[in-house]
Amino acid sequence: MSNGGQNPTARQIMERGLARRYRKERHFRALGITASCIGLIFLVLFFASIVSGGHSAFSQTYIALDISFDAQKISGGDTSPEALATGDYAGLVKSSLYTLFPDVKGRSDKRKLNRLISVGAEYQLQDKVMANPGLIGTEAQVWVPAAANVDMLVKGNIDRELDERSRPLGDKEIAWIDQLEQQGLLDRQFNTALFTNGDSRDPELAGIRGALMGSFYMLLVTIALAFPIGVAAAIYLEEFAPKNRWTDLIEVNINNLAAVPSIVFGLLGLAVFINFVGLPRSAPLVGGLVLALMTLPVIIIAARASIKAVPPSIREAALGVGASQMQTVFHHVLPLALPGIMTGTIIGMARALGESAPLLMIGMVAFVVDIPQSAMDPASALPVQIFLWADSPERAFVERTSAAILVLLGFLLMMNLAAVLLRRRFERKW
Amino acid sequence: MYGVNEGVAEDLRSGRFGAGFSGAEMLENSAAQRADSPDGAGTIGNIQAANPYMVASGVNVHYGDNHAIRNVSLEIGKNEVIALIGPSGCGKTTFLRCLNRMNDTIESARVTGEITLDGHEIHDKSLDVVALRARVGMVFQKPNPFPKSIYDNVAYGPRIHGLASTRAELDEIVHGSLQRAGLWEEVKNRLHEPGTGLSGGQQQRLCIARTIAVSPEVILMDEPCSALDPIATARIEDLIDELRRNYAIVIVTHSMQQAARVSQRTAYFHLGDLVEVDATNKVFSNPGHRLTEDYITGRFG
Repeated sequence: MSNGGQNPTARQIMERGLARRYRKERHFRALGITASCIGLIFLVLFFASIVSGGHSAFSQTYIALDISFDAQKISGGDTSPEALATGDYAGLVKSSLYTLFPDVKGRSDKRKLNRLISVGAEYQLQDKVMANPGLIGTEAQVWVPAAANVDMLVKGNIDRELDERSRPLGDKEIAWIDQLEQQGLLDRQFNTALFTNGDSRDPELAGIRGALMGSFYMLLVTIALAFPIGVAAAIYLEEFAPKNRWTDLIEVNINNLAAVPSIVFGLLGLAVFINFVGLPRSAPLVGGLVLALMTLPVIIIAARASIKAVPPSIREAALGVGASQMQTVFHHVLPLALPGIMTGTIIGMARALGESAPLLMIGMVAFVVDIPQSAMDPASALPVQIFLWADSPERAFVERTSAAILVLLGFLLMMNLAAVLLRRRFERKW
Repeated sequence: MYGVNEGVAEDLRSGRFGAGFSGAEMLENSAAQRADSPDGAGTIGNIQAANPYMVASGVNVHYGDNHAIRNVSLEIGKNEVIALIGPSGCGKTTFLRCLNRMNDTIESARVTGEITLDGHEIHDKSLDVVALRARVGMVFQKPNPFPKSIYDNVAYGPRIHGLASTRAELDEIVHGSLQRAGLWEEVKNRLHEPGTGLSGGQQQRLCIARTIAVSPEVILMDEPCSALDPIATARIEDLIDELRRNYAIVIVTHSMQQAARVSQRTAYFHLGDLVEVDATNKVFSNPGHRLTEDYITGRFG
């Protein structure tokens, strides 16, 4: 540098390199933007496909029938509650249909006509009569669910141009449906059954209520176990445990546990909770226990990280005025770490909510029609329900699968939002 | 166990405690000094206080294999301020933390020797560490108020020790402590606002109020003004002078002017040895040891 005339000075060398440095930075930025865009595109595609496939499941085709609640037809004139409970309501539906289509003759055609209405219609009528026996002897227009194939035709999922033999509805049936539509007796309404019913073999009657309740009880068990145990373990390991080879070993094991595939936890649950302890199969209790085991390491790791993030000066301040170690932890460290712990817990719970593999191992993949009333009743869970419906051959289950996915995503989104809001609300700055 | 302590211990372990040293001659000098006096008998001046309240004798601290302070004997007197000075890593903070057993929180730390408080050995089982820390309060280098209201910051100590049985008594303690810390006038209308919203100097006075709220007998101050501007520092120094009437005060400081201003006695630490203790004016006007002289005249440190 001293013989500046011939050799480039440090400034010149630096300036020459400057352009290259900026170019590298530009490339890196472009790379980052590309990566983000690709991610976004896939996200949009994913949501577009699910929403377009699933939104139609939130409505359902209903058919208006004029029903005359004739005690003679229902139960041979007997109006006692027992007789009404076992009465023939399918007959009511049929006779109402025959009055609507007086031209339909012959067993085969009549059967085809009856198949336009869901089997749920007779149960709907029965429930109506049981709830209000005063209906007997009156006439009323009742909207009953149409069969899944009718629903599919109305939603345009059955191609009218196809050859009659290769579509589920024949020309006659399509003509009847069109006639109903012209008379204004056919309408698409909000599909309440999707949210109030349990699973069913008939798509128009199948709902996610059972799976939702199963998931709810399961998460209840999971959070009741995983949160206190996880936080207690994290506090002990972070604040009380001596740092030695044993605690190092525990730490490594917890980290490894977080990486164990979830199906392994399912096998563990099968072996321990069902085969050894003897808990019932398919019960949300067992599912909750398995998911708690799975979530525990996630919560411990998140809790330890947020406990570690509490500034040591706060601990010293508390110890300095004579707080015991326990008081220091519970009065100062834990309240400051809690937002982080809760965020970690919610994210762990969201993962547990979306988990299906371990539940397959403990029998929660069963076909359960009844809505579980407790954590001991057989149940399935939302992701398992999606798996089951995705496996069903009926066309109408395709849109319901997407709808169930939408509901699951809605819950996951809500949980993640809660985590973000909690973090924003309670975040402290020093 | 905790980050900062570990940091301190780490510094000491890795032997960084010579930082701030300039001449190799100085190092040789101190090595020779240590060889001459392996038992710390090299402390010159007068370790005795007029009215001793805490007495340390033959205190050694090891962090793992590292001998952080050797054979320190020092008396801390009532109604006086003793300043601990010395270059970074010389062991003055370590010694300070021995006095209320804050070194217990560092796992690798081992403290030997005798420290008595009002005649009772502080490591004795009969003296609980929680009770000890209530009697020997501490103010830290960085103001560290709890992220709670000003009132709760001061009331925390009295609450956990059960010093007030009624709300009115607690109010009185909080009022009195803030008054003595010289903060009352500034915060009396905002007692329920967060303590972290105060300025740095106010926060440090809040920490002092928090410390005196549990009526300690000794107050340890670890560079209490190092994060403050000169005006806030002056206020704290006035406060220290006020507090001297009721408490025994030990203050670690890097500022020799501050030591000269606030203390009656000064102890000079060097590489883990207590080199010299004497009346402050004696140490600053006529130091007995060459290391002390070099340090206070700014030859190093």
